Amino acid sequence: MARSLPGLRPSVLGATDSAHIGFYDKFHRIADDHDRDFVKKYDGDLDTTLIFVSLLRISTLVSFSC
Amino acid sequence: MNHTLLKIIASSALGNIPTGADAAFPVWNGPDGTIVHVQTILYSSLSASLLAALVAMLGKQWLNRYASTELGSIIERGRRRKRKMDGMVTWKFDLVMECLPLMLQAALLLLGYALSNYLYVTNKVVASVVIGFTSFGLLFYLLIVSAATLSYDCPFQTPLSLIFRFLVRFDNEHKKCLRRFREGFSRCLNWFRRIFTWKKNRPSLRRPGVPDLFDWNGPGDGTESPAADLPGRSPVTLNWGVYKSDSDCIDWTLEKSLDADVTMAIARVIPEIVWHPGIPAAPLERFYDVLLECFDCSSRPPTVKPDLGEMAYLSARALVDMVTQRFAFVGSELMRAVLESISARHQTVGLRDYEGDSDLKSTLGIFDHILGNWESSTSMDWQNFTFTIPHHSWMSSNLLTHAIPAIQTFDSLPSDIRGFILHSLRLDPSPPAQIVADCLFMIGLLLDVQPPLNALSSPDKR
Repeated sequence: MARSLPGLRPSVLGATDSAHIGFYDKFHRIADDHDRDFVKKYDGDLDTTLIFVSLLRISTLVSFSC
Repeated sequence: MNHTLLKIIASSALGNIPTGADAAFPVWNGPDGTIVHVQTILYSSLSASLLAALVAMLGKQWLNRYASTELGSIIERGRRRKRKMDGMVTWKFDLVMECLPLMLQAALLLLGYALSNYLYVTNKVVASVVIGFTSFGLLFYLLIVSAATLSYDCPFQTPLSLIFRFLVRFDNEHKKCLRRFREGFSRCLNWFRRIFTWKKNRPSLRRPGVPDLFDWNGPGDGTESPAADLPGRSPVTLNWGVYKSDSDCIDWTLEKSLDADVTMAIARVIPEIVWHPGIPAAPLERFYDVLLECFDCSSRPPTVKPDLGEMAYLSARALVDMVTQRFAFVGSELMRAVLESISARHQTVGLRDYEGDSDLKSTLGIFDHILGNWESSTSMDWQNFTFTIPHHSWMSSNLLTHAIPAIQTFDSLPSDIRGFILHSLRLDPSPPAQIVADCLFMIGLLLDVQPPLNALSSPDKR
């Protein structure tokens, strides 16, 4: 019987999506902030890595030539 | 003698006719051994840095994909977004990105070693400079790694020290992983066994029966419908994955934001979500705190602060909903502990007349009763309530969810639920059909009539 309980919920409440939309609107706003920080952090790290790689490659090639 | 013989054998093996003792033996005329050694290390350093460049490039692509917005409704996008976020954690994106500099550091070390080695052979004075700097750098690195491994507060954290810390912590996690693997394996084995026996005794179907209320293990992977395996009825398509991702989103949002409007939006959406046992923590304490903030506790009994009536109603409704669903689905120990801690500091709030706001008063009353184990509190004054339709239908479905475990445990309905049924059925004009259907189901429970399961779970109970 407990297994069938979830079937009660959305139907009884009329299954309006307005509450969902209101919530997900807020969710997206918070997630945007979070993602911006997240992407910015790793993007900066990767840029540094790429610069370092190119420096290292140049120095390796220089030591090949000597 | 032996050596000469060996040379002759080697020469003949190479197809040359030996004319002298060392005539046909090939002589190495390539670069010096040291040069080969140094070049090998230099090439490995170059490859390591190129590999790091490849991963860095891929990392940029991964980040771009993560940041890209997808098509679809706002709800769908939200659920997918949360799944992407979870994927980042599950697949340890952080660790991979942190490990990328490790490759570069290894490449740098190899370069230093190769240079020192080469210069040591060529010129010892020049070599001493390079060796000095390389060994100083290595020493410094080892020092900061060990310092950062020993103390997490040390600001010189490196990927290596983070990995060391992870490995130390891994001890318990590792055991858990092994246990999970073993459980998964035995489940697979059981599954195969079941298929095998099912093929053997195909005609004997399982005996239909009503599952025990508290013997519900929840959905396996979050996608299957738990009702689907009940024999004798059509499977009900409840999308557990959707409920799971909704509640994950709510958990995450609650964690990230303390804003009042975000909390209100969450409180509004909670009654539309199934808090099944797959969800680890119900944010009960948080909502209780929100509810308390709405009250002016200086007066007795506490009263709602002006302008916070809606907030109080929404948070109380969310609390009641979560508690009821949790008790209906799992009699979890954790849940009991949380509830006990809440009821220890709870004051009765549902007695005051909130300027004729029946919705708020009845919700707070039900909340008081849930914390006071229903029977111990004073009974609700249903006759004097005038509910709004959405509140009334929420109340009826919520009480029906509550009535099922109550009937199984106490063999009778709490007096307040009886009062609610009588009040709803006596209303003139009568309430919407769904509310009446809920009340009739509760009466059916009281009369020990097993409600037909498929009717109970179908969207329209009429």
